[in-house]
Amino acid sequence: MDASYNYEFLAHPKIISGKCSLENIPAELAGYDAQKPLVIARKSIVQQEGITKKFVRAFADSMVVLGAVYDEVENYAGISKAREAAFLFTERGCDSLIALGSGAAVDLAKAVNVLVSEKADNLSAFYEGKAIDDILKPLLFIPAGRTNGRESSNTMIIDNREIKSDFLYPEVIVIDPRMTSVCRSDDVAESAAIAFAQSFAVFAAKKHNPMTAAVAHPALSYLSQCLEQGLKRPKNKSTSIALTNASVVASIAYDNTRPGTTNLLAEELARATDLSVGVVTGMLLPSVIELMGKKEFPVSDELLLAIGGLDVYAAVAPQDRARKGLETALKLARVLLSFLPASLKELNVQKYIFNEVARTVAQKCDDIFSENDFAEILEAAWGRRREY
Amino acid sequence: MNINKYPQIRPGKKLFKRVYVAIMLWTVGKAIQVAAKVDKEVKEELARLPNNFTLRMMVAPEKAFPLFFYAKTLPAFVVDKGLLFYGIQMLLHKDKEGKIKYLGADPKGKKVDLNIVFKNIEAAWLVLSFQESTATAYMHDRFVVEGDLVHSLTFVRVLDIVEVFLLPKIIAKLAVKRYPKWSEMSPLRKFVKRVVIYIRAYTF
Amino acid sequence: MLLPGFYDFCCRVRIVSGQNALEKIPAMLKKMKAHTPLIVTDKGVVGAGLVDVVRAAVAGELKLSNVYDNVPVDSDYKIVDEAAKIYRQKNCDSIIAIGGGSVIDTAKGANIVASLGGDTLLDYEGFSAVKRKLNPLVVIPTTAGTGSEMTLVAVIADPDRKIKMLFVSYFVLPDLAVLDPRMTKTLPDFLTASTAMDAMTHACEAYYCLEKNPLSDSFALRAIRIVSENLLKVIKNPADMEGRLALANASTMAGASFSNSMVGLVHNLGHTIGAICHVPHGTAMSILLPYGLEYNMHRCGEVIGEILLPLAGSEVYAKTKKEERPGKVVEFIRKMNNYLHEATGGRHPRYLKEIVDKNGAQVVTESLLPAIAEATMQDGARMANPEEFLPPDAMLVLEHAWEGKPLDLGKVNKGGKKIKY
Repeated sequence: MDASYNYEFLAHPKIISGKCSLENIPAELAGYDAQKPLVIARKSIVQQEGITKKFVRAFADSMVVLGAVYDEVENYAGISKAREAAFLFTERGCDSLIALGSGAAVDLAKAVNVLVSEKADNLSAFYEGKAIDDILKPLLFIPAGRTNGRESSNTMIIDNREIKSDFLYPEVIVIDPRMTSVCRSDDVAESAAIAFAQSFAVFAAKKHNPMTAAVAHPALSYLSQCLEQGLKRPKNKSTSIALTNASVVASIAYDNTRPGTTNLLAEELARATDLSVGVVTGMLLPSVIELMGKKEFPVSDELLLAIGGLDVYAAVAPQDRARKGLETALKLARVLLSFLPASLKELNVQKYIFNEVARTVAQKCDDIFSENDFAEILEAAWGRRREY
Repeated sequence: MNINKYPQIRPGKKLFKRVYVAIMLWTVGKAIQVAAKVDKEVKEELARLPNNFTLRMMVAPEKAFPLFFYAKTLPAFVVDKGLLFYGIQMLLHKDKEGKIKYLGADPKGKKVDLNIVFKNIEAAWLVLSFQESTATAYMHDRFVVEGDLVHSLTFVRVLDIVEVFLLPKIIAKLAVKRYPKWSEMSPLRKFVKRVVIYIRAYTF
Repeated sequence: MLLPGFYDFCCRVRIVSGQNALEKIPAMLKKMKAHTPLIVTDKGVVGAGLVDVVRAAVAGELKLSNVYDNVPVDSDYKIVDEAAKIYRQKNCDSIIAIGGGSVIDTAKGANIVASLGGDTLLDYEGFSAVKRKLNPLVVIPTTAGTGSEMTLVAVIADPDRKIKMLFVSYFVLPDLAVLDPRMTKTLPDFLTASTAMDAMTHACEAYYCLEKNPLSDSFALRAIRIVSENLLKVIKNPADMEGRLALANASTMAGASFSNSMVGLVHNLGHTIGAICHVPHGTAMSILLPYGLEYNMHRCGEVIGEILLPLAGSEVYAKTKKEERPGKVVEFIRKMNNYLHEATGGRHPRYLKEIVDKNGAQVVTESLLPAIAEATMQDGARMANPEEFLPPDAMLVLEHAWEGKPLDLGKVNKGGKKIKY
């Protein structure tokens, strides 16, 4: 095993997953001496029929009172909404936060947490680099719907600016099948693409530390087991909970590894074109994997272990494992493609931005990839044809 | 902003599950009291507990919704007042001579040595409707134990034996790890004890 | 990978690992706003010069003058209170624990008293009495086996009432675990063997016991692999620092795994034998592990068979038929014990009857076995075992483990279906 034992690692959130896990929230809150959470929810989630009812029902017969359900957030988290929610928080005398949904809702919850715990009115000091150095209020995160791969991590993005601090980790992540099975197929595809890229980044280097590999392993494993099913039947509880587990675990692992090629490239391209990161990630992944296979970039042999499982791994000769791992990864990435637009061309991405994007990413990325490689990846993703 | 747009929510109650769990806890308590008298194995297991020992099995949170009105109006033989004041629970007491007695649901003025707390009503429901076996429930953190863990193991073992006595094989198999073979517990013994425990538990 | 119907997982300990990990402590402490740590350790660690190693590593940035080194092998709450008192006297703001399981547990307890106030640990008895973040606690394990640095429980005895108190809370978890091979360099070979086998047992048990979950599985698989790849190497060449660091990592990963997945029969018997006959934990673990696997084989054979891949390598795994894998796992662990027995000159016992004390007298006599079997009912680990484990079953296992013969699978009581996790 090519493991490097010089590392630092932290997986802060506690994960609770499975049947009746929502009902555990009152007990978890009691562990923090809290019993009045403010719920910050994604609008499209709460608007679905029966979700709020199911959610509130899970708190029945407990001492917990929900301060309010603030649902004015969809895809963009800004300071004005954070202030509004923080006002609600103090007005109602809440003592904890629950983020229901994902993406911006969690970012907003983190921002509210900073505002109320640090008694600040805005976040400008923190953008400038002031450290959040006090323990914040407990933040619980309940994944539902499309994720952006940042929820379980220590970053938040408010008004398109990033703040990073170890105190921003959600304390508890509650994965309940009643909440995860609200997605549509495209939500599943985008979340899965991000989770895939994040966990792939862990193994896409010859040396990796054993802890991150251990955390990323289940993510790839669930993706390979459940992705096809999950895309076809997004409301199926058992596959949706497995895929959500994959997302959560992948983002925790990604937090502890250096930024992955696919993620950096996708983020940069999404910023340049205003497309969603999930879509772009899903479209770039096959090209990245293809290029890595073609140029024989080093990959950990555990990639095959995670995607293929024990039996496949054992059956392949040690020297072929890296190559075989990339092959299986490519196959999996192609599954995703069938639920996304076929190429960047279809999305009307202009080719002239590619050079710019490739250069920016090459500056950020200390990997073996060169600027030309990035350009090649983008070209490949642009001109790809759908295989029927 | 108008904060009334986002009202405060007080989650409701699960009445059916509460009643079911209360009845089941009562049955379990009574059944253990009777089984300790009539069955040697249960008696031996319970001998591990120290004398003058009180055990409580309850559903968190305590005193969640006290029903003072009903507690004052309803007579004691209709409903145990402890249930109305303190929430769903049952108390078992082992006295100085080592006799086991079911003490009802009123913990007032009693020193509880071992407290087995279901984290929420749903957890109690899963266990007492045999969707999860005792061991699985323990693994799934459905209940927590306050007090000496060793005694809770004894209690879980007793619970397993009593479940085998009380329930038909098809259900008991879901509730225990290993259903005893004929050599461990003869069908005759099981059947006789089942009848005796049911009759005595529900009569006095 | 299998997704259980319900699971929870938490290991919120920051891990710093590496050949120069100790040097990073001052910066980490500063980040946690701590400047004057109290070192909690025992006489053996001080005698081995390990505190000086730490001191030298952080010299210039941090002064480690406050040392409490009175922790005995079985710590009790009085020791904890004493440590907390010294913590206050010297105006410390954090704790660095250097040592094995007992030291780490004491430090966890002392941290509760020192952070939350009060004079004695007894005030915080009971479930979830600790509800707030404690002061920084840094753990530097010196045995590479117990995995206590990753567990959220502090086990502390109360000699007056003769009970073991459990303090369970996520806040009890240390903030930082530092894995540095310099800490285990001086460990004699038989202790290296038994502590590494302890880690192996944690990982194996975590893999087949009832509370297994994807993350604990993944940690367990890697821990098993690291131990089986590195243990023999390190025994042969004690100066193999990379190997020792790998073993320390394996121990921590096994700790993360079993603290979230619980342990079964092997620990049940191991704790009991330890309590009655004072057998070292690691020794009991390595002897009993094959029996634990054999006893549960009919309930979760498939899962046990998967252990073969990290244990014996892919070649053996691919060659062995699926139904033969569990048997092969047991065989392999026995072989490993035999090898360690030879390599350490007989100081790593293979059977219970081989355990001897300093004077060469047998520690576990055959007459003690019934008492041990009866006492297994008093240990919490019996809950997580896949198969029911009652005194007659314990007697069966003990008799075989004492003699040193493989468990007679025909005699194991079978009455349940395959386990559904």
